[in-house]
Amino acid sequence: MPVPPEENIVRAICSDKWDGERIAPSLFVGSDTSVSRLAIIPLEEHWNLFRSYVEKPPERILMLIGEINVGKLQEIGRKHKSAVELTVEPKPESRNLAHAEIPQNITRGLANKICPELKLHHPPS
Amino acid sequence: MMTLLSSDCYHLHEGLSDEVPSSEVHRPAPNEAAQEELFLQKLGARGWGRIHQFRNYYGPGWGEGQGRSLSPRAMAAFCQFLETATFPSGCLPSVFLTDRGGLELCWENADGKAVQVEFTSEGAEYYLEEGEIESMVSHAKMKALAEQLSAA
Amino acid sequence: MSDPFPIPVPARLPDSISPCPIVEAIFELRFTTTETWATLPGLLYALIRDKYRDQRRLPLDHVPEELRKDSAFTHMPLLQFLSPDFLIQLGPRVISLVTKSNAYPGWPRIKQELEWLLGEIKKAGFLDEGERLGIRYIDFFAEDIFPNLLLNVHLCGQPLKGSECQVATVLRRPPLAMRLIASNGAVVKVDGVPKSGSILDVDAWFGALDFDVFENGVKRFDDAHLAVKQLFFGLLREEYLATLNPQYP
Repeated sequence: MPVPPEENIVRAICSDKWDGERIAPSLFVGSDTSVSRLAIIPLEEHWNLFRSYVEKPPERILMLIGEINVGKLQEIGRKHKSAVELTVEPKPESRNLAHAEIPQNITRGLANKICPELKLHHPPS
Repeated sequence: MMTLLSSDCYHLHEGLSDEVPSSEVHRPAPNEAAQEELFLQKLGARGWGRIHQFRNYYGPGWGEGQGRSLSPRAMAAFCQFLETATFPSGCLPSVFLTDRGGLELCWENADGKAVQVEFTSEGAEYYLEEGEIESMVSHAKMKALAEQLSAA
Repeated sequence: MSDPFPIPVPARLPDSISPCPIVEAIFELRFTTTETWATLPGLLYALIRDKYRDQRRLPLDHVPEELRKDSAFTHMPLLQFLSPDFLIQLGPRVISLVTKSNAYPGWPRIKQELEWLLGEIKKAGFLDEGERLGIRYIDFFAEDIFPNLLLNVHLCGQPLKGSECQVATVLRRPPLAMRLIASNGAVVKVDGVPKSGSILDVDAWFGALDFDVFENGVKRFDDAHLAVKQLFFGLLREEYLATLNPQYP
């Protein structure tokens, strides 16, 4: 049962995908893109959650969390010149019960439409 | 960094050996100095530092376990591209490591439109926001691609 | 910096010279892998153990992995496998075939062993991508080699003679790069006894885009071997070569 369009999802943005000026489009390029559901785990708890399995200091640091509404994501997919019906499929894991995936292949062009729509959250100070 | 094959089958006479080690002098491998200079010149200190990190600290299985370490072929293609590429004045491109071990180079052209290239072990995939063009070329075409995208 | 190759290729190359000056020859492959160091030796040893029974840990293997992450150690071997004729050295991102000290078996034998080894590496399945394919030949001469080479060092316009000297240069024969070291102040061990003399040390390699390990790896080793051989004999003065009993095909 796909995640409904009312929900918002987030993706960890680490130092390999953010250099302080630009976000890497490859953050979303490809298939089976991992995301996490704010309806299951709130944003504030995602910082420590993501740090526990995506960070490897000092080299790979969690820099930002990018948030987008599922409905908005799907609209972007439909309006793309090569329209694609994007879905978000729940895939809870023991380390993250809110884990989900976007199974469809996202091209670079489509990723370039998604990234500017991300709401970027900085780590709480 | 292209260090040379290691061997300890001979050593040099005292007079020719390095008696007093110096931390100020580093003898780079052939072409290493030129490559470092290229990164600094075209990408700035930020880009140079990021490439150093990607090369040395992102081993197999980085990230959530599926990340591949930087492809040597991608790196070589990236360097060939960078030798010829020019960027708009004041623009420092961004460089990223992709999950499949490629190098992704992103900048904006003179009109502020995105230009992106991902160098992989197979070739180079590029994207031009102007015209929404997505395509790919083989490693043999790096110089031509750099000329094309520098004028984009 | 792309001058023509400065060493002329001799019209004919000997198959062998006597005494054979080759102290050691190394045939190396650097690679990326998705395997960790914990599993790599086992994957290889399972396939080569019939020929390479014995193993030896090298000093660097005793250094904790965290400290080995320095880029200076990236391509250094940690383990050796031994056979009567060769060594195989293995590291997290490097594998090499090495001739026994002062026991060069000849190129046909080496090429045969390389073909076999690359086949076993392919079966083992750990090699993701080749990064560098290179060979290194180290030759020793019991005398000052500089007067016998077509390589002259001048100081203030005068030939430099009789001093301890080391010359290192990088030469390019695209797609091959070659680093040559000539020194008249070197010490090697011959039958366990240190001997002072000169070395010619040539390291020739192909970069990542210029070879495919399993498509043309053996051919590339062949190409590099020929280039090193041409450089070596191209550098020797004719009259000196005549004293080395060259055997031509």
